[in-house]
Amino acid sequence: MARYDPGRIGHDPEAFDAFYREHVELIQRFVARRVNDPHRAADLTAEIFLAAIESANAFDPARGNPTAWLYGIARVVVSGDYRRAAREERANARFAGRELLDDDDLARSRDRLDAAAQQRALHEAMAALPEGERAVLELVALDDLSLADAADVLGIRPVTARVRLHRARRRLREVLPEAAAPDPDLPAATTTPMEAR
Amino acid sequence: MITHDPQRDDTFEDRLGAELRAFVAERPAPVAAAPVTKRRRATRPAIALSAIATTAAAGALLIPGGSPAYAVEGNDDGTVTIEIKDLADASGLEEDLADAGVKAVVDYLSPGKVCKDGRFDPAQIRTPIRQGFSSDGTGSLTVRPADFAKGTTLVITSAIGTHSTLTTIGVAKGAVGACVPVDAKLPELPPLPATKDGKLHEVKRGIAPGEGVPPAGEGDVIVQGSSAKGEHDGPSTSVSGTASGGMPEGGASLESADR
Repeated sequence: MARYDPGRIGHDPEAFDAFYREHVELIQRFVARRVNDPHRAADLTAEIFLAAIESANAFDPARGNPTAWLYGIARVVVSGDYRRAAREERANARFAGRELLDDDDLARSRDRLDAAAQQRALHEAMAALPEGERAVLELVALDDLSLADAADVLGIRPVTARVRLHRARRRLREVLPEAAAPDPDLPAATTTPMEAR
Repeated sequence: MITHDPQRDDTFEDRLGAELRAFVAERPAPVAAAPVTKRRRATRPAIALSAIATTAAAGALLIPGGSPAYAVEGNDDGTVTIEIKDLADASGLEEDLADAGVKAVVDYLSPGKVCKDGRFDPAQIRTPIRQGFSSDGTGSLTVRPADFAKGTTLVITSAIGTHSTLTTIGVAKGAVGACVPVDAKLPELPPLPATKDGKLHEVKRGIAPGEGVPPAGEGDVIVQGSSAKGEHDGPSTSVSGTASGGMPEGGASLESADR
């Protein structure tokens, strides 16, 4: 799998480099599915990797793969919870990702955001769902993860993920028939971006 | 923003990578881990799991089980402590309680509504139900899963009043009917003196400081949590117990309004 030890990315620049290169595009797309502003997307991308650096010690290779771990962090950062939880630790290590953007980057970012417009709409439609259910649906429907990977990201059992996905789909159909209609059943177990890596 | 420099051919990704890499290089290597004892090894997976499940991004916020809205944590004595922080993700709480060995039905109602009476038959079980609350409006409840006989269900219902949120905890025998929301005027408990420390207070079910009612055998418990979350005039939390069925005839009430 990985050629580096994710547990080391918090203090080993080489390990971090490899980890970053492998995931930066993935994370930018993850963010683009949830956030519509290129500047905020840049900030969040920086924050997600900062959060990973700061919590690398907690990475346990026995549980989940590094990508699942990073997705879990990304979810928390994007939802704003992380910012609240870690405000103090962050005070002296703040990066504004947006300051690193130039015009070319902005154009690329906008392309990425445009490509994800439909998914963002779906993401908004999910806002009304209870958190636990939404989390599973997001990862499966929005981020294209398998149920097993989604469970991995969330640290829940696959069977729990399955139940929540069912409930979320049912609920979403009530709220928004057209959004959930195309695929009411569980996704076929396919290769996911995560496993492919 | 950086003005575009045609000489530059690096990208945002390159620049961010370089900044982060420099940041990593400045960070001290972690202190060598203490020798791993057997015991520690045994407890580790659970911690790691919660790290993935929740934040732990910061290493600062470990919420074993659950979501940011609540926590379900097993204790050494076989009891399970439920902490409710936000009235959200009721189904997640149900599932995590089921995982912890307690069948539960959780309903969070919209403001001014309660569940219609008579949706379940109260069960008589003996379990040390302890509850507490903190000044931030978080309510907690500790139960022993082993005491929940087959066919019994922990019923948690929250209703939002004008100044507070009322969380009713009951134990049902047999099936629990669906919650039919009906309009209700929620009892607003009188405030108790503020506490200084904002610590979690604990109240044993069946103690009625205000009303002088004898301990109610196996009654329901009402936890009245803070309106909190910035809605009204500041944190205020109270806990109160009643006999099953929802009529306040015996139990405990305690409130903290501090900061």
